[in-house]
Amino acid sequence: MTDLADSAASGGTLTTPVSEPLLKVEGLTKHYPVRGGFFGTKQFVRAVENVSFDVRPGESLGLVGESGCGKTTTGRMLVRLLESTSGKITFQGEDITHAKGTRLRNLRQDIQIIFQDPYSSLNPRHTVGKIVAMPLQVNGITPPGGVKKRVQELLDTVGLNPEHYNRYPHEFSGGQRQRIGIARALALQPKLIVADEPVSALDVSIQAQVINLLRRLQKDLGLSFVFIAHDLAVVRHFCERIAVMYRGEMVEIGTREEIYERPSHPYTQALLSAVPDVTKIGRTKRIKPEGDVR
Amino acid sequence: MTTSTSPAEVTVDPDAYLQVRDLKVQFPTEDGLVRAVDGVTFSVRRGQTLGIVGESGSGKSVTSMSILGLHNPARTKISGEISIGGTNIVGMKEEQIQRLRGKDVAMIFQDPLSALHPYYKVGVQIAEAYKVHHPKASKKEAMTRAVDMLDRVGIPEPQRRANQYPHEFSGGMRQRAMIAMALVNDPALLIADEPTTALDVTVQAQILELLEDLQEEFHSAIIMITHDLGVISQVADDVLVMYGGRPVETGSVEQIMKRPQHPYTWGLLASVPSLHGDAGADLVPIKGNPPSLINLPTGCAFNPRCRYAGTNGNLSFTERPELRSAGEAGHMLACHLSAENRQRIYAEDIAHAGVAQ
Ligand SMILES: Nc1ncnc2c1ncn2[C@@H]1O[C@H](COP(=O)(O)OP(=O)(O)O)[C@@H](O)[C@H]1O
Ligand SMILES: Nc1ncnc2c1ncn2[C@@H]1O[C@H](COP(=O)(O)OP(=O)(O)O)[C@@H](O)[C@H]1O
Ligand code: SF4
Ligand SMILES: [Mg+2]
Ligand SMILES: [Mg+2]
Repeated sequence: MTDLADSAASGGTLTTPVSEPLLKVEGLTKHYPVRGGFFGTKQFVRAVENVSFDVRPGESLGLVGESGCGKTTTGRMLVRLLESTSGKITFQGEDITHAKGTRLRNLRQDIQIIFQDPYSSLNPRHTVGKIVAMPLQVNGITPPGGVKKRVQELLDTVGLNPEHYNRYPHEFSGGQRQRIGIARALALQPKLIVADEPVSALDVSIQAQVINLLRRLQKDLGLSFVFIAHDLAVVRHFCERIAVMYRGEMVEIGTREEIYERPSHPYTQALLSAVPDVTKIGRTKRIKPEGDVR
Repeated sequence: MTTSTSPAEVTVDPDAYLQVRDLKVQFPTEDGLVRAVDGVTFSVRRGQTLGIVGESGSGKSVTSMSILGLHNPARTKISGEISIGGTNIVGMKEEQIQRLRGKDVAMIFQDPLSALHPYYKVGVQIAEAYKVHHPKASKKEAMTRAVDMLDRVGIPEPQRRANQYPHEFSGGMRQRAMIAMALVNDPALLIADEPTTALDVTVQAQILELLEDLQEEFHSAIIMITHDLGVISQVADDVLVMYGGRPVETGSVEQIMKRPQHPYTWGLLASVPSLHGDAGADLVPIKGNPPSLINLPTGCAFNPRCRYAGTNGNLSFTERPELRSAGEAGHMLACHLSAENRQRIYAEDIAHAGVAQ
């Protein structure tokens, strides 16, 4: 942990002191307005309710929970694709909850997002070169050696052939498309990447390739991650700390050991006991959560 | 499933309810002939569960759809034998197959909405499925049976639920309703194709428990198709690992999960992170991507992705390995590696990665 942060700092990419969290989230809340009732009265989906956590430099924080518990909503608020209903987001000591204009644009260089679906998040009419170069061009950045050289470096970093610069997304497999998404996220040398189910749609062997790539990037570039996933084994493998969400609320946060070896919240216990364990053959006992049948 | 101890070839358990021999399924397409299933042999007894595992495009669903006779004969070439309770359905007329489907053999899918019609009440649909094979049953009897089934699969207030439409059900409830419909005629064989892939783990656990309870009750044979090795460990008695439309390893769940012998099975196990063990250890993924079934590599189809392809001279590139004994009774594999090499490689490279740890 510390040496990751140190190596990143010595690389000159990190300005925050090691002790300070890179990202601080306090009481984050999102209520989606929905129409309801006979007279079209306004009602709300309480998607995220009073969620607080820190992410330290070089750290990977996992966000787990079942579908609909508010993981994506949380992630989108962090990258400011969604405005929060209330709460505060602090990045490198600065309140970014309502950042706008130039400040927001600068922020978008530091915090990037990668999505679950590598198919729909890439423009099918653009070449890979154009897709990966887009963040540079939008931000008016001309890297030393030119855009093309930088893009080819990025393709190489994520394990794609730099010669494939002129190919289109449909010419790549699912795993390769996820790599394109990662290259695009890396283009602006972000400090934090929010990864929303980045490997969920991939076959296990391809999933492992992408996880290893993300782990290498985290180490080499001193990146921090908010890693969203519903697969508890994948999260355990990738994240040093894990937050467990249930129905919009964060029910437990702790280190890998705390969450997986000594879970204290009954929901975390129920969730973990429901995962079919590859190392155990035959039926396993599981802890049934309240109101079991769904 | 039983396989022979003879080193030469797989034999089929003559008493098994389902017996599949040398099944081949091909689709002629504009791009060429898709050899989706290319010589698969297995059998499943009543009361037993066969797990079929493999990455997408390995021929799992095509295999299961053949057992239900769901392929369009005009656009599909099928050969081999599929014997269900003693009747070979390969080459059978559609009307005859229809009589088996839903009664002797039923299927559940990943997406319950593909089996449930959105316009009709859930109870009505299940009652209809019952009446197809029980033409003498009255409307009322069929409806009673439907409500009873909803109750059996653990749906609370089955009477009220029977009168609702599929969209009024949650994902887990819909999956239960589909299972109720599949089981309404007490099928002897149930094929479950990724039945829990789209569900949350707590709901998945309930559905798997339900299937196990129902199997105990009805003594049905189950084929569980999944890419999730955890699900396989939990429910399977025997396992068939498929790659590129062919079986590469088969055996008991113990043999496959604890003493795997094939480099592809190793790759799957080393790719999956564990809930225990050393989280710092890197996964050992299989390199590259699954092959196109139109143009499989010559020799062993796995050779472009296999770390050990050069170990036996040129054999992996020139000769297709056939299934043969892996040593223990019932454990078969299709690989040119010698037993000594397999043992050494497993100990050195695989035993410490992913869930193989
Ligand atoms: N745009 C929206 N409008 C209304 N409700 C929404 C919207 N997006 C998400 N929700 C609801 O908010 C809750 C949390 O959703 P989401 O953040 O996507 O959960 P997760 O990513 O954990 O599956 C769910 O109940 C979902 O239906
Ligand atoms: N009707 C069809 N026509 C042509 N190709 C098909 C058809 N059905 C399946 N295939 C191909 O057969 C191969 C095996 O598919 P499938 O059995 O669905 O794989 P999986 O193991 O993921 O279930 C795939 O390459 C698929 O594209
Ligand atoms: S036959 Fe050769 S290429 Fe195929 S799995 Fe065995 S070692 Fe690998
Ligand atoms: Mg989500
Ligand atoms: Mg399939």
